[in-house]
Amino acid sequence: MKMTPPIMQDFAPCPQVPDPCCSTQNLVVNDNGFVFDPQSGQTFSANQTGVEMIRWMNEGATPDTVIMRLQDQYGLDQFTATRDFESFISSLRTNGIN
Amino acid sequence: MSLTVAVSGLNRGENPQPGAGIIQSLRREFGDVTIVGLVFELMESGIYVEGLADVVYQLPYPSKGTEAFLHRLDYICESYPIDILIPTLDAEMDGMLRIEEQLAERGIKVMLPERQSYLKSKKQTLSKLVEECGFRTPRTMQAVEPKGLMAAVETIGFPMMIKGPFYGADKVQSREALLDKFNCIIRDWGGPVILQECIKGQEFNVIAVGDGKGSVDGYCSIRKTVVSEKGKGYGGITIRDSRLDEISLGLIKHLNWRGPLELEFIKDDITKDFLLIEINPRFPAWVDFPSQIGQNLPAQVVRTLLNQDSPVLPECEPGKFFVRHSVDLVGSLDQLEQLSTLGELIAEKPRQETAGEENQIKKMNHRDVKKKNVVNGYAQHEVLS
Repeated sequence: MKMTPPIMQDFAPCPQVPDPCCSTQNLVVNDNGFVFDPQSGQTFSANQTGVEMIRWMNEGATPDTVIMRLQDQYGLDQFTATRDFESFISSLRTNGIN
Repeated sequence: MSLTVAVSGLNRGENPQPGAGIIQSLRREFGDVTIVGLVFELMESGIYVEGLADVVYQLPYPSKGTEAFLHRLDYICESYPIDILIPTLDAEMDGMLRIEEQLAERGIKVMLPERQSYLKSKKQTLSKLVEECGFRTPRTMQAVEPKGLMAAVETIGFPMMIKGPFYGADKVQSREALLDKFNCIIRDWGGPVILQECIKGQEFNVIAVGDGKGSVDGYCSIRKTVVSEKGKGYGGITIRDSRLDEISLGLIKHLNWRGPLELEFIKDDITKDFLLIEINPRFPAWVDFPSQIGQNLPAQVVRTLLNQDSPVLPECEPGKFFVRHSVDLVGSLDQLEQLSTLGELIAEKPRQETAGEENQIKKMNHRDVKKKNVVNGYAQHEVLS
């Protein structure tokens, strides 16, 4: 199964913030890809891959575990999985998730 | 139990005031409440909303002084004895604190902060207050004359926020624009003018009712999602941020705040700090939003003033949002005539009139009036003598 690159669309844009860490623990996400951050009140849409990554991280998966699961589930090589994961995290940070 | 509550600030137009939201909140909780709407301007839109105020009285402007206000209040109380007064405008608060005793003598209850707490909350003293509480506010200076503006330019630089003592906040980018806004504020409101560092970030607001002992009888925090060109929040979403709650509740405790208040914050995009921009010593215009999701704060104020037990309200669930919606209201010249000549307007529920009612003579403002018809819920009266 081919992986769709994770997409996030912010309905209330905020500027990019350089921050080394990113916590998704508070994020509320549903099967339709609607994501809500109760701390900031921001809402986003994420595709299925993004939803899965948020759920894995909420279950306590480390970045390495998430990358491994991406490789397993979507048949990706490590480079592509790592790049897509980092791109998604960067997108979260851009949308104010720290 | 008959209960009469007077509420000011009925405008819901471009610069919305809290009065209409407070009235809606009270009507939701107290079915038999009589509402006396207090207005300064004939074009305060809430006057013309069906079912909002039972009667509307025009007030002298706060600049006329507290004596004129009390005189008008005495006149109103002859027809509608007021049990509770909820002031909603920044310009009213100073006077209210000065006449709290006179209001009590008249049997009118009002929930106000201690004078000391109020003075500490003013824009001019905010820097000192946040320092005492251990958090931050944007760099703030004040000026009463143009010379002071230049000192602020040197310290703060552009862009800069310029604010009046009660109302208005504008971002200015140049000395010319700064001087222009300064002159406007001095002309309309007097000084001092507040000059504040412009912080880039999202705006967060907190509404609460302090119990005067360091705790709150109700609390809700939002992020502004829709902001008008004038900086007014036309939309917001409830949030739960432990740091924001810690700062807000700590501040209310520090001030031992009694009564309604709104805290305005900006979250610095770079440092992620919440910076306090303003404390408003009254309910904000979005007061009816939390009322609809379990935090009816105006009802808490009324219960407290009536010495009734206030229920512990459920916490606002994050993710509820409001969007302000404008509608066109219909008024008539008769309504304007009544308000501008008599200074009052009595509302009645719309209903079919009978021939008997047509000839009914009423006393209003010590004059005989004949009810003519009902438009938009307001009775139109013809003054006969």
